[in-house]
Amino acid sequence: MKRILTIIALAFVVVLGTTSCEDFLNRPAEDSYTTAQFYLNDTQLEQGVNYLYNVAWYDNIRFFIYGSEKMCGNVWQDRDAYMTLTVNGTDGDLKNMAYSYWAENAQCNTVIHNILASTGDVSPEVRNRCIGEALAWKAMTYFFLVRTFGDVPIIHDNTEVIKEASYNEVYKVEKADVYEYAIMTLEKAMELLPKNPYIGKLNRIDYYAAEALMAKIYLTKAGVTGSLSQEDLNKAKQYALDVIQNSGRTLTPKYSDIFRMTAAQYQQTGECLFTWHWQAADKNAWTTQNSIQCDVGMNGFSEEGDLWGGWKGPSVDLQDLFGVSALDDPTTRVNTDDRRQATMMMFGDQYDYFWTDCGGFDFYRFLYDDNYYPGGLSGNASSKEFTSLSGAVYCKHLFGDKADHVAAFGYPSGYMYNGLPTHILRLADIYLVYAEACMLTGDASGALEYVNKVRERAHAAPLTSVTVQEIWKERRRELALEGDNWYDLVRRSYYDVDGCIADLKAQRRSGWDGLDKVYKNFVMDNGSYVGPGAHSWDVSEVTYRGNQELSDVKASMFIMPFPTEDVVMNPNVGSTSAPIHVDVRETYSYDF
Amino acid sequence: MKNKLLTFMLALLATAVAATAQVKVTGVVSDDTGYGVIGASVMEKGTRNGAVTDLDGNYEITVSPGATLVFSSIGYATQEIVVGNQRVINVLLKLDTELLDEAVVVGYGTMKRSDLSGASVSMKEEDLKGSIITNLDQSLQGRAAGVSAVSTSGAPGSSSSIRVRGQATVNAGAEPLYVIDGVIVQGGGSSGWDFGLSGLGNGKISTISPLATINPADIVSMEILKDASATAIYGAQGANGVVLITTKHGKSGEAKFTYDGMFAVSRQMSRIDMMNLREFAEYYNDLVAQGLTSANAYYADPSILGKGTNWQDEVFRTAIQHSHQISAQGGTDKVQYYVSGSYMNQEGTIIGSNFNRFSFRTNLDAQLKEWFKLGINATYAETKDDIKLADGQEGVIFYSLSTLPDIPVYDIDGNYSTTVREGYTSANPVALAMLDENLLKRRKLTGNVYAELTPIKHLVWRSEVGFDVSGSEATGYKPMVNLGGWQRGSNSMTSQRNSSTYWSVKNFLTYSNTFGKHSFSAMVGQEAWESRWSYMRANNTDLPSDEIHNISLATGTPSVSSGFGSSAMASFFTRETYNFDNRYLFTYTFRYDGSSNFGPDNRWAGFHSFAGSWRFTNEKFFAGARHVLNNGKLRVGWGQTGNANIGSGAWESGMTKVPTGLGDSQRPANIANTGIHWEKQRQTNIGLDLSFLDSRINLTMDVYRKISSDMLMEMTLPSYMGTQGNGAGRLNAPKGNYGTIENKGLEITLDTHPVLKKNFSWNSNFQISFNRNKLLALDGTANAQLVGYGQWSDIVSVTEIGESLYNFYGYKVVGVYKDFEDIMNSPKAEKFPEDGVFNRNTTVWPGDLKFEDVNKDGVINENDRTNIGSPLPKFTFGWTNTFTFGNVDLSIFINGSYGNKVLNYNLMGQGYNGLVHMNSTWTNQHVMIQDRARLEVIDPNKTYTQGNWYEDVTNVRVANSGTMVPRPSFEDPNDNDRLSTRYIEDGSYIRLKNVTVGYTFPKRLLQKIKIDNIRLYANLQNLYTLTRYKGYDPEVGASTQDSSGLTFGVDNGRYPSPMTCSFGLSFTF
Repeated sequence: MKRILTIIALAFVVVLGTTSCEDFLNRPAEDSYTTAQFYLNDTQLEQGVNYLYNVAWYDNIRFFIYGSEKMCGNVWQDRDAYMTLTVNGTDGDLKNMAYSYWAENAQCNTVIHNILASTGDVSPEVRNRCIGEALAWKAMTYFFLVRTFGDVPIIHDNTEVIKEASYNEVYKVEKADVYEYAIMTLEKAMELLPKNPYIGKLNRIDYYAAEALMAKIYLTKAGVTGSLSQEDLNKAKQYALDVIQNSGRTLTPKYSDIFRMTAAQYQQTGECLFTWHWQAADKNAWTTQNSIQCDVGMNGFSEEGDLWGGWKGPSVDLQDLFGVSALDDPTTRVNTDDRRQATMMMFGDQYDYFWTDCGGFDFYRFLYDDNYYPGGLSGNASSKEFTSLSGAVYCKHLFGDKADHVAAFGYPSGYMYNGLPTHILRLADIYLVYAEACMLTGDASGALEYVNKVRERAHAAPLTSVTVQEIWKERRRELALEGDNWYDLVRRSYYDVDGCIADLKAQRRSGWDGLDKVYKNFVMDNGSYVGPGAHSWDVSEVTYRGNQELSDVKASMFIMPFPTEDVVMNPNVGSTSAPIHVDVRETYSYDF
Repeated sequence: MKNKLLTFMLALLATAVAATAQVKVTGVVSDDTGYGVIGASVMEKGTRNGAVTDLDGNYEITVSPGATLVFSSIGYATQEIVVGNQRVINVLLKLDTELLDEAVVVGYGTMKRSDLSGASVSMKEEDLKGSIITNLDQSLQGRAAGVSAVSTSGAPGSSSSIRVRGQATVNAGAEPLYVIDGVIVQGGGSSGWDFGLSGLGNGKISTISPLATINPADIVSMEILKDASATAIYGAQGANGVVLITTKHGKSGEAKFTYDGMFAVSRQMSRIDMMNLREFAEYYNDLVAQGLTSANAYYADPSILGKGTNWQDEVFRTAIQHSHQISAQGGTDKVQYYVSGSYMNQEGTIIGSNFNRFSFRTNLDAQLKEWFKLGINATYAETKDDIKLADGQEGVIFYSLSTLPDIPVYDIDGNYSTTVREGYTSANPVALAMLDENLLKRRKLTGNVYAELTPIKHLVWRSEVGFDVSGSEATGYKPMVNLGGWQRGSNSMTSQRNSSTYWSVKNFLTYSNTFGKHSFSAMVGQEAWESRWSYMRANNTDLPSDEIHNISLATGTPSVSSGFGSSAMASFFTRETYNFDNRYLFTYTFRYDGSSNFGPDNRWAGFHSFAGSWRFTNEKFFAGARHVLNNGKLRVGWGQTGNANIGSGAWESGMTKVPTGLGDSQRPANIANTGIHWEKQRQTNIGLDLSFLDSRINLTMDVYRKISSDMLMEMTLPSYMGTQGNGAGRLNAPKGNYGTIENKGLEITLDTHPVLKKNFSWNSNFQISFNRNKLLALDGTANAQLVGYGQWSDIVSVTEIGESLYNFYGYKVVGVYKDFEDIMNSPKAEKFPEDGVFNRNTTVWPGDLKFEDVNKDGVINENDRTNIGSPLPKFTFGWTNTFTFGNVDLSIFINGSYGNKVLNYNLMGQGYNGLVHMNSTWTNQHVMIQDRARLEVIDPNKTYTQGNWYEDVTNVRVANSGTMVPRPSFEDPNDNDRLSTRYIEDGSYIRLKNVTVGYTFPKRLLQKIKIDNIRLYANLQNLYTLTRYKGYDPEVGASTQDSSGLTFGVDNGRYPSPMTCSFGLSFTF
């Protein structure tokens, strides 16, 4: 009997323990928000869009910082498909660039979707502003896409496309329609964004940033039909002028300040309109950081050792444009323009804003002095060789050494993490957009005025007259290495492809042989560093290779191959498939 | 009372009288091998009178004349002999090879083997013995029909990818369910990343085995349940098969101690044929001659150069392994115990990698009351892994292949040397292996407590509480490096602590009874488990020095992340069996499962199964044929199982923190799919068991068809949907139930005993498995195929609906363009210049690969990619032969695989990394490129004012026009490097996997020194492999690098399995 009772008692415990199954099985995430729990107040909305300013763009940086720069002739590298404009659809940097744009588009669409679904107590201003920022980024994304690939699909709402399962049926859309779609998106963004840069939010996109982009899009779109549309050019002019006159923003007084780390420097006067805001505090969050210095900096430039960029550099052609040469005696080299040294480092250059812990950066000593290195290291880690055969190395996008980073942010860089922001649309660009639109609509004096404003900031002598070719040159001087000059050629190729081809063929795209020997000889004696003048400057043995000049440029090269992998799923996006025309304003809308 | 006393007295008297008439019988009991059977029991039938044979099988017994003697011993068929006039009776006991009535562990109970209707395979202690096993899962390889076990890496402590009857699901966990003494093993398939070892790359598939914490020497048997009628009792967790593991339990008697010791030496025998320094110099000079690079004085005269550094020799070493275990077992009638302790240390064959394990086990069983049995099984293990980043494009193995031979390991000061070529840093592979630290320490306490009650006869209630408490500490340390070209100015450290707690409660009641020829059993039960996990991770940089690895000393900005969560499952199940006259058997099972991985509307699902079998040899009409076919059984089964292994949270949309330059941000981690539900599987199995000639020949055959539907996976979307690229930036596609896969197969096991002689016996076991799978549908998606990726987002495999899984996808190489004419007469290459201006750097050129125009449209483009081979074998087999010569035993195990292709990803690489790309002079190349298309001048007399003959398309041709290797080209306009048949190799192999020679000391000798048993053995593993594969090892399982889980057979710097030679000693006293 006792046995039975014990067993019944045990059974009772067991049954009790299993009665509330549903509670037992209901386990929503405990350690993170869900979308339904987020976007409920103003702070959360802002947090919800912050990431549109960094992560998704990361995969694009290599194409941005040297893929396109090599194509347009700003950067030299030995033996490379970007140098010959023959990149294939399987190229890693190319694919990553495409992934980056599409990811940003998808994230913008998702954020907009989520904010619209928010049931929280949010102020209409913040809600509008956040949606506006997402729309502006989306327009920027399509602007990149259409200029890079020409005809591309339009993914208006990822959630919808997934729901309808129509993702494998999309077609490439004709590029004129894609421009229209970007414009339509930006119009909505401008409707939602605040006009005045709100206090402390200067780093975010506002109405004028969106309007600036609008100006640039109109300028680019103007030639898409094969001949220039005066109407579009007038719009470009009108939008640009509004930004110039009414945004309250002016050019940063000192050109090199734009490329420094803190907002107090780069955003003194609000010049930067669209910026990728990287972070480096959390070194556990890959793709949230800037790692461009690693790709373009010379080995040993920072004590982190995460650099491998010394084997490429700003091209001979770009140096020509600045009126300097790798063969100049550095002690007597004349810089006619502040922008040259802020863009590229050449033998003998000195910088007060790099290696502040060493009292500034001395390029002579960096290259050849064994006893010159920033804190913490036991030896000069440079390759002791001048390796960029173009005669110059990158300067833009460098932040400096660890101490420089600590001075700016309070914490060190390292492990391919730094916090230097990357600007992708600046007011100076808009000055030149305005100038170009003026020029192309016959207003040479308007053009001259704004070209000279840009030159004035750089302490370059003012021009007395201007041509559209001169404006394009000015764009290269102002925006070199900022991922934009290739698109100047793309824009122009719409209506003047032969001119573009001729310009590319005329570029000096090769390297020098013998520079290192000359440089070493100039500062070293008997194997040890002495300083400039150790021996006399003698470049008689340096030869220009001449082996990378472009002989074979075709119109088709101004459009990058669309990555071929998706063709497996959707043959409509294949390299040979035709785009369709879409009346974007009929088909898509932003009715909120 | 008086009467009783009287009766007793009479009886006593009668006995005494009888005794005087008794006879003494002696004899020897021996077996087929001719040896005496020790400890056999000799009983006078119907009495308690008995004797036991001695060491040589001798016995002596005094019995009444005409008595019947019963001779029995475990493992032998019992014999009865009537004592007539003989006084010496020698008996030959026959091995009970049928073993039909041994008890076999099934889910929630045991059954007699003869009662089984499902398909399952047993592995006994003897099968595991002798082969060196660090992890249990390794022992499954080639041993059981229908079970494929391929080690994902040769690293110590790494796991195998186990597939029971083919790949049944693609994205959700595909590994079988492991159940140890009734407790489900947690954490199947973890990557280094899960433990916080981010330095190990982004691989998703486990290289860290959850089973590494279990000591194989504690295992008494493993039962692999294959078909759904067997696994359905595990319902939602049984879709990928179930491996039931039983540990050793004590037997009553005096304590027996056993020591097992093993010492082994491992070495990676094969090398990939990379160029040595002299060969590289010749190659370099050839590039110079064609104006592809500038001359380098160092390489100018290859004849004065040596062979340079062989980096593979530098990173591989002879590795030592040893293990020791002591166990004790014994007990009384009521209480039995088994305790063991073991230590194992294994060096990896890559310098610096190491694995060690301590483990303790206690198994106790106590019969407390006649109706109440209580037991506890508990094991505690501590493991330590010193893991190297071996795999992938940034791993030690790949670097050892690609690093140039002209760099020494050490510079003249004895420091590691490194080099930078045009910005490409070849991290010294030796330094890479030795400097960075990835340590993983794990602790795990698992076991269960059970009570078995028998309230009334035939009814057993078993109640069990299982537990698994585990924790891990992972340390990733990157020291400062200052090695010439390779500098790391600040050190960094990551430290992660994981802890998890799992408990389960189950109760099941079993009633079984027999009425005449009918016997049946019924079981109902309940099970519930909960698993809670948490982690805390800290990362910081700039420790003052590299001596003390304590993250709190770091001076950088710390970043901390943590997470926690739980999952749970609740289930109810039942099983009914019915047996009529040992001829007809039926089983029905049903399980009803609820999982927290799904939303409120989709949590519960039920799983049924039916099985029946017919033992036709027990039919009367068959009696006459039994001397030929002594056992024959036909089995038919059908069942449903499920899979919920998709991780929690897919039914809701979580947010992930993203730091930005504008402050913290939160992004949606995924697109929610509230409708996500169980993956379902239906399987039909027909099996036949046949035993011939007194079970000298045993044949088991099974055919099956299983359909997995509503397959759980992440939706594959084209890249313009924003779902590609780095994980943090892309939009993660929704997870849901999208696909249907069919697996069909045939499994044959032939177990024979060709020779059973006194001094020589031979047992042979051959098994072969055929499996075909097919993607039937991708419901709920617009896709017509599944795509799988290589290292990052490069598509390497495409599975079209209607095809088998994981076909490699790329171009077919038909040769090289011999000359200008050949280019003009072939389908147009992608970079064919429309304007007719050829340029060797920007257009197609003689010596470029000619790809097949698959769609016959006259141009070569992405539409010409096609299926270029399947990584799945047509069949796999294993063959074990065991020979016994007196005290010496020899076992030879051969296994193999036929018809599978391997993608040699090392050759292809990514970007500049390929080993046959010839697109830079910074990385070493495979000797294969010596057969590269060699361009020669057609008309040497043609003169040029500008350029050279090699830049004139009409004046070059390929000298070795039959080659399949392209010309060197740094720009590679024709994209010769893309995925093509160039990298696809035959992965078929036959491997002499295991040879064991053992010697057991004669018992006669040992008896004198009071030792029960001593055995010495030597074992050789991976002795020889016959294959055409050019990589290290054709045995390549699930990719360790692919994040989609949709590739197979991709050799991406995989840590190869070494050859191992071991010596072992086992003694019991």
